[in-house]
Amino acid sequence: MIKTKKGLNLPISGNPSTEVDSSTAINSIAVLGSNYVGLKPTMMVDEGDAVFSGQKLFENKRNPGTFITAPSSGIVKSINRGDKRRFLSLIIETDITLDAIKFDIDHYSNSIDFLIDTGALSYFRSRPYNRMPELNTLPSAIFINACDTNPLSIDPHELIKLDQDLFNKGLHFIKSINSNIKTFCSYQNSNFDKSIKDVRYSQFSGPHPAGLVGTHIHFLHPVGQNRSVWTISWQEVISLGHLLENKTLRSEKFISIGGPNANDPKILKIKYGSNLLELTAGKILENSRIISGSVLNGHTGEGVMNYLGAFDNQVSVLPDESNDILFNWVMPGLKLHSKLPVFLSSWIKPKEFKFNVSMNGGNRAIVPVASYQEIMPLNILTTQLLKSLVTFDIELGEKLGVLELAPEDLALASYVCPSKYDYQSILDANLEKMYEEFK
Amino acid sequence: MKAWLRSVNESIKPKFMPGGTHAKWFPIYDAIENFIFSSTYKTTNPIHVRDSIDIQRIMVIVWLAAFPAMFFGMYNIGNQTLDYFSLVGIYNTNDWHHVLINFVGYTNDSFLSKIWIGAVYFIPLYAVTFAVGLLWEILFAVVRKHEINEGLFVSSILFALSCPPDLPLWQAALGITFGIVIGKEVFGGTGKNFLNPALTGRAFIYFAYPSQLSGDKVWIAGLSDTGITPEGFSGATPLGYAAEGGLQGLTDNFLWFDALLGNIPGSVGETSVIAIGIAAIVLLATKVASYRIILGTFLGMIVMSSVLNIVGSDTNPMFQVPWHWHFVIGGFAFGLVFMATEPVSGSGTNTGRWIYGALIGVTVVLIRVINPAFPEGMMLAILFANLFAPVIDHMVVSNNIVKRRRALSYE
Repeated sequence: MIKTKKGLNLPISGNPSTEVDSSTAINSIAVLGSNYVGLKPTMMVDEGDAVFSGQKLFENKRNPGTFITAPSSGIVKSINRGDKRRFLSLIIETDITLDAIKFDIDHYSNSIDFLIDTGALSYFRSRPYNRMPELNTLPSAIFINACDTNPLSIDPHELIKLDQDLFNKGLHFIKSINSNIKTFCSYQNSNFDKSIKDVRYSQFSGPHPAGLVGTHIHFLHPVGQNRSVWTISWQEVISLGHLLENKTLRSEKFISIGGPNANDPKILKIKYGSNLLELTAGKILENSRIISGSVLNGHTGEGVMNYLGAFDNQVSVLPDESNDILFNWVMPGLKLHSKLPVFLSSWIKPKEFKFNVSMNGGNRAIVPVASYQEIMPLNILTTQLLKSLVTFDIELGEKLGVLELAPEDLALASYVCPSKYDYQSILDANLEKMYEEFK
Repeated sequence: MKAWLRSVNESIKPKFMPGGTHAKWFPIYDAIENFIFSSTYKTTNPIHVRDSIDIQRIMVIVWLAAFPAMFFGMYNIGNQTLDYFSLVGIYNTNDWHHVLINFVGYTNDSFLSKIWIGAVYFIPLYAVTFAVGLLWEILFAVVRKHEINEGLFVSSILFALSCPPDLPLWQAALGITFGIVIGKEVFGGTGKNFLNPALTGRAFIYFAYPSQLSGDKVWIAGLSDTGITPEGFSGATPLGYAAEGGLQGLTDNFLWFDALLGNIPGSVGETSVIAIGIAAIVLLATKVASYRIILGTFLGMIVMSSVLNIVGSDTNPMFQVPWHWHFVIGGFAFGLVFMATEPVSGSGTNTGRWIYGALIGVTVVLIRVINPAFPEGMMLAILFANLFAPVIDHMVVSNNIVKRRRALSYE
């Protein structure tokens, strides 16, 4: 077992129970451009077209030969673009009377072709760069992540055991893609089923980010300019198993809904790309911010962006308000949370911390406080790495380990930052620049 | 009350926002708003919750932590002055301070009198420092269009506390000007400075006006104005005595316990190791200061002074001064807790912080003992280590890069 000590579990209220609710009806789903890093789509459908589950929606111009397919059948309602024609979302009104395309693994000469044709290659992301895998390159390892330590997450083991056969089928398939590729599977719960041969199972324990795949890669098989791996989460492994078993794409997934403003935090079985308003209807308090993903690394959006992200396994609901405290700088802060013990709440622990969408400060230059290093379990000099990111010094950044990271790995650095930087977006911009220069 | 303040704020805010009539004064408005209200900004994608800490909180903690040293310093100014006046039998500072002191009077054993005399000396010194510092902060914030940084609170109080009590106010104004402008703002403000701003200003006046900042006459308020030194009295700090007579010079004139409590002449805030110790507890408990720097400095000082004790010298009596005296005299404790731990100009890596601290500890003893020109070494030692901090960090970073490469060089 690999134990990490550094990190932070947010003491946030509204942790989901393991009760599964499959009753939510969803009529509108979307494929979001922000799901896929470095995406430039060439559309293969038009507004008003009927699309079938598994039908190709668009090709990625920057990674030719790779496609995104429709997760559910329906009618293309709109294709939305933002500034500079950046692709935002493709919205589908679902229609259960339309069939799903059948894919039979036996019709393909190799498993990669199968993944490309079904669109299931998009279940994987490569590290470094956190993008969809490129054609004609194979990774040195594939990491299956069956952990989740995000705030308000639940141990995936609880859900995997409901579909254990599908999960193992998917895992077996991944292991068999190529015998030269090592297969790692990390898990949290000691009862986790470890029955597939030649899969390297490792147990991780510790505070967040112990459950992030970036942490697992760092300890088991670190990556850099000359070595890349693919990553896939437990959810998509079940989806792969479903695809092999039923020959159609799995249109539904398990997500948890939780947070201070969730009425009844629990598990939902819900369509991929569900509309968040439909998903949360009747389940949340008024004046809430609905976040697809975790409170540390998720997206919220209105209208055409208000949909569940492809890789998000949770929806978090926060009060959409900021703290309003007079003379806060001398107040003891009995209910304010901080990684550094600068509030009285670190000594007199309150029953409940007040988590909302308050920024809690103004923008300042980086001051190297102790908390940056205290949230980083990897062998990375966090403060120096953050400074190299902010100054876009990609050469130094590469040496300090930027290529090992995806934005989620720096979410806690943004959380604890007293200068209120958003290191995730800055990392994204740095990785984009590195991709252009190094690749 | 809160609602009323909010409504007043909402009504004047548009004038300072872009396009408003006073838009260029936004930094001043922003600073006042942040002083009264907590920040109302909301988080944006991709991170939706934020730690409640901000730079304002960190700076205010350091500022408040300096208060025990400040209050003790005021008491000690009065205490030293009254002791001196009773020795020479004159109760008159011969300048404007006298007018103010007369409201309470020179009463030898009165706590009120001592605190009042201290306040009459220190409060104008701090007020001038703060006001001049604020002026420069505002000027830079308005011209460079950034926020006024709360670091000024810390720089100003630390600068004022590190000055002799009787410092002419115009020199304090010049000192903090140099500290804020050259030590900080020309590099972009708090977070981008490579020298400690308060110490930069202190060093500037130290070299520019040595007669008001060194020697034996400046450490007791009123001494330089009356100018009388009776037989057997010099007004020197323990460091001054140690430079002359070594350990013997110290023990003849001071009790170690008095030096620990702070009943000795010196800069306003530096004398009481107890008051500074309270600050150290606060800063370490809140993790605002790095325990690595503090321990590193302490160990460096102990090792170096012990080495010199063993080596010994026939001509230089300072060699005999043991570590427990170095600890309580001069600016060692003050610099250790407030200046060396400044995170921006210090080393930024955890390993580096040990080395950086040790460098300060070793250098301060070397300057105090070996260097004939400067009796006090803490200020120069910290500034010297500030200059080396980037080199130390560079070595630590290079070492980390090599280790990371090795981990990546595949099984």
